[in-house]
Amino acid sequence: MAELLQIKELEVSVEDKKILKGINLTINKGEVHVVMGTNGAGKSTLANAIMGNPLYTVDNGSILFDGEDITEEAVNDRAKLGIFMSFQHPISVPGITVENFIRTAKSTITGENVRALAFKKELKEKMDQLSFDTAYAQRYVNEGFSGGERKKNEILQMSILNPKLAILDETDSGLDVDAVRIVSEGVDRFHNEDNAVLIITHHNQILQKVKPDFVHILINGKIVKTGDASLVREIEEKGYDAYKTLA
Amino acid sequence: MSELLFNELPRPTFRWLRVNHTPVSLWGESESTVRPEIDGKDSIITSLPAGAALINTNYKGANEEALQQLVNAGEGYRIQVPANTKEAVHIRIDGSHRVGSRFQFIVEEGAELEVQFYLDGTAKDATNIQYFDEYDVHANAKVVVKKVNLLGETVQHIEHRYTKLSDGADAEFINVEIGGQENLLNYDHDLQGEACNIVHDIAYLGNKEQKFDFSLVMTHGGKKSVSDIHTLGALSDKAKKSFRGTLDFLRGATGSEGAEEDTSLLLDPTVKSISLPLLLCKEDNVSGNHAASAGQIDANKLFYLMSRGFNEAEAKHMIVESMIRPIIDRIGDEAIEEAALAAVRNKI
Repeated sequence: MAELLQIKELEVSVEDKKILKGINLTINKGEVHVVMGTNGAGKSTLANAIMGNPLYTVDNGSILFDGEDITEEAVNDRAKLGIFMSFQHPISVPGITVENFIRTAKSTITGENVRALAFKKELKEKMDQLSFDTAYAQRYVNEGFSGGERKKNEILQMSILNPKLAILDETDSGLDVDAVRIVSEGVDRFHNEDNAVLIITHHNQILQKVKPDFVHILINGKIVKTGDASLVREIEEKGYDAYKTLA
Repeated sequence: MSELLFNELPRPTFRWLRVNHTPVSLWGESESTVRPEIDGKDSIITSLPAGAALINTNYKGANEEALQQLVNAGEGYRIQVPANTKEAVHIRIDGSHRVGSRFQFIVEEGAELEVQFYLDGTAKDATNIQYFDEYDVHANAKVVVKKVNLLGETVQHIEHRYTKLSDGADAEFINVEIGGQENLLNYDHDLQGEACNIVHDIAYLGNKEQKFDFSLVMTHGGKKSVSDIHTLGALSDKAKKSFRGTLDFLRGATGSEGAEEDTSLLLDPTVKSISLPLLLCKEDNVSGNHAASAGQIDANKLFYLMSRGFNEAEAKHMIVESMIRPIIDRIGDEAIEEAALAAVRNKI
């Protein structure tokens, strides 16, 4: 299987506080990885570090994507290479409609002119799949959206921008049961043998439709255990106590 | 004319803060003034003679002396909308000449009036655009004023605006202030009637050495009157903005509510942003809220946009445009909205 993401000995700080303390992680094309862990373990830091958030400082280690060292790459260049992050708290962009925003983003990422008519058709199709009212296409990005609508908008962007690696940072948090199912189905539709998904979560509901190949337990900035999907059930039942001492 | 003091704060604060007023010399005084074009139904537009009485004789404008000169200088326009009718007026002000004019709007009971001011053009040499628009909005009448300022860099732009609202009257004011070198804008809104309502939203974008000096006063006299001020914009280079916003609750204005908010995005450390929200109150049962914020571009917002492929400059453009655009979108004239957006994109 072709290697897509390789993280080696990654150490990351935020405002001089070390959060990640030597992460090693390899994600191949076609795989679904899940990262679970206690609050403050560094799960979102890992997502932000892969996406290149400048507020997170890489102190040591490297991130390779599609064979290219992207540790020093700017956020937008990582997006153009095919990395997408679904935000835990998507921000609003008043003044720019959902349709214009995603169309412009697609054009920027692909470097190609995105034809209006074809795009409208694709947008409607994807919004229907997510049970997302198509009227929202003409609303400002996330302005006045509920938490669930914001998350659906993230999945909508993911499905249209079609990245090689999608990182979902607690996309299921704050969603009701129906919304989680819709998001889970959306991720399942997106996933294929040419891309990969990294899911950061506290719960197993988002995994209803998406079957993980690997589950990683992150405690205190370190991956202390990697296993298969059964690890999710174990954590659901027993919690993290057994792993806290391993960090 | 020597230096005059503009937009004086209704209740001065410490002198050493140097924010009580803005000292200004008027530009291009040797030129003769031109009356702007006005477009509307002939039957509602008449000539307003020089020196005609003000709707509120106590209104002092951005500067009393400058306003008095303007009032006495020449004819203006009087626009009277008959009761229970609906009218629209378009006014174009060309900044390539010195302009001095006055507009008196009388909106009779139950009538509706929409006014659009479009200011553009630039003179070869420094010039002065100055006008006084006053509104007498009778009971249950409504006025909507949409102004877009795309004046050039040689223009000193002064507006004096007074509004009187009667019982149940409604006013909505929208300003898009992008052009002009020195902008001195004075808005005095008198909520005399019971349950009258006013909203004043201003979007601005300043760069180079542009100046925006806003004074807004909401005087609540009527019971259950409601006012809302919101100014928001971005400054870059050495641009400067002053906001003086006053909510004044007079005795008897029971159950009234007022809010004012000033939001500034500071794109360079060399810009200057002054915000002076003032609450005056002689009545117990009222609610007054004020908020002011000035800061740099939110790093999280920048990260979000860049994660969608936009480079830093594109993301910053998007943030500034997204801040101002909701107000531009309310202008309702596609050609003017496009011109305003083009001006925004040119500046950032």
